[in-house]
Amino acid sequence: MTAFHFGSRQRRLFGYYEPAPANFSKVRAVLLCHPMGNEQVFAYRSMRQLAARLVRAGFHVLRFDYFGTGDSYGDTGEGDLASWCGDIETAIEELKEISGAAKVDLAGLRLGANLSARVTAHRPKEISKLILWEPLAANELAVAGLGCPAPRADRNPRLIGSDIVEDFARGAILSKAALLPPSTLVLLTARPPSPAEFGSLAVEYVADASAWIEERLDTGTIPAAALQRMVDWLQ
Amino acid sequence: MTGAFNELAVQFGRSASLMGILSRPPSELPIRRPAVVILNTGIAHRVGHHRMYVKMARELAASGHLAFRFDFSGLGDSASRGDGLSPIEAHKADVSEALDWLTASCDVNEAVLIGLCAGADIALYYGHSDKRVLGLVLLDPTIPPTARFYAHYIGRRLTRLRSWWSFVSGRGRIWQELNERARLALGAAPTQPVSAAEHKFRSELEQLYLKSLDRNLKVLLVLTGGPLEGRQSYREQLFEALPNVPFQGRVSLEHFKDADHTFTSESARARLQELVLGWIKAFPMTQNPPPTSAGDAASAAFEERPSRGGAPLREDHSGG
Repeated sequence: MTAFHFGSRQRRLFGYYEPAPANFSKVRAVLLCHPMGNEQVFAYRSMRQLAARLVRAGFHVLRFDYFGTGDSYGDTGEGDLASWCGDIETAIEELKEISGAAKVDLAGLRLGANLSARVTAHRPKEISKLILWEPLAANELAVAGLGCPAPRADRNPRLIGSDIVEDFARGAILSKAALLPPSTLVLLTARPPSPAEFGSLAVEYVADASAWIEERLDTGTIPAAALQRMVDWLQ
Repeated sequence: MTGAFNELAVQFGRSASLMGILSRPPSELPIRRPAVVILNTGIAHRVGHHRMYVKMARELAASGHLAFRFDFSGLGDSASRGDGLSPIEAHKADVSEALDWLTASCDVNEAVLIGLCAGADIALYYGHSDKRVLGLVLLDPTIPPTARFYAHYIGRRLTRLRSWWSFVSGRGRIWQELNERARLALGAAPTQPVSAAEHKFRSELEQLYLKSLDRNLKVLLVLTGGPLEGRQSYREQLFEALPNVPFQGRVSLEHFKDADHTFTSESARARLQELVLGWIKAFPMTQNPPPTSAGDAASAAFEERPSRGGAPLREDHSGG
């Protein structure tokens, strides 16, 4: 395991890389894309667990923080949706370089899912498999665009109802379906999808804990069934 | 916007199983003492709620202090110790290893520990035992309840529709609880004896504060006034809960009346930031001359970038 910084001097990103065990000869790599703000804090244990399970299954795994979030450089609120997509592209290049993989898989949670879908639609040849775990709807995305989606945080009025948010939101994923890899999985753990919400995309509902929410009574609970489903599906 | 700083990702401790981020002043700035070690809040990783510890560490670094945020064993990116220690003993050992690393890599012999909630408790448990620790910043540490706390508690419950509904619907536990707390608030003897565990814990807290003051540790207490049921409800609660500890005049106490437990409000975080920075800057300068540059002092701590098919690359990153 290696914790390190990567990216340009003006946009240093923090990453955590875990290589696959040496006995796996086939190179397979997964980039995990975090949610945003406190959702990232609450989901951190689950994302770390997901990484550990993927490594045991033979994947090289890179987790990272977008600019202006987590341990990456930049002040909170400095980033925006488009530049965070650029950070995912930077992380894809980094993961390909350090793992030796020609293509990578992406798994994104909440805002990380929305951003992953957008990046994959723009760079379909570089992504083998894509997991979109509980992507954000437009109203949630407007808050997440601040980089600090606390329930009582001020919202960013520029983003609410904007074309940018509509284009990134969960509702727009179906319109990008043709650009996404055939191996795309929408994974829902909070509630089942509404009929036809994701069209022909593969959608699975696994009733499990919401990793991104801090609950007083079950804080730290890992959604083990959902994590294992993702590992099995990527294998 | 945060001033200039640079950061290193560090894996340290026994078998390098602990993970931390060192924020350092820019190389042209002399390092001021003390260094600052920021502890986890509950199970949240080193970033902290609302990323508050990142900003705090960077502001401290920009003003000349080394600031180290790390994950306790079993939290964030740090592995469990696997040595059978209880959580409190394990986290005390983690703090000790963090200070050992700072001493070995950055020549740190004077440090302040900062913690919120459980992090504050660990700072209190550990601080008095290590001569390198000069001060504690305790944000909402555990405070035993007092009669006045129970009176506040009952008052809050009585103003809530949900509490009345529970009462009307005959949920006996709620009624019994209110009845018992009302009796305590009026100074009556408890119907149930104070549990041995509660008594022991109160006594333990008292000893920890006494030891800290005996060692002349500087202590900054910051208490929030937002709803935090079962913990504290007013500014002087700690002083009244532990009457045998001579707090008055020996600790700094700040009450953030409108802030909640995790400082959700940006203005509360900014105020906290300013308070902590000012308090740390007020530490007297020591006789020993500080290292001439942060880059030289931490030269043993360059992080490693993973590299395919070769030795890890060693890099230093500046920014801010």
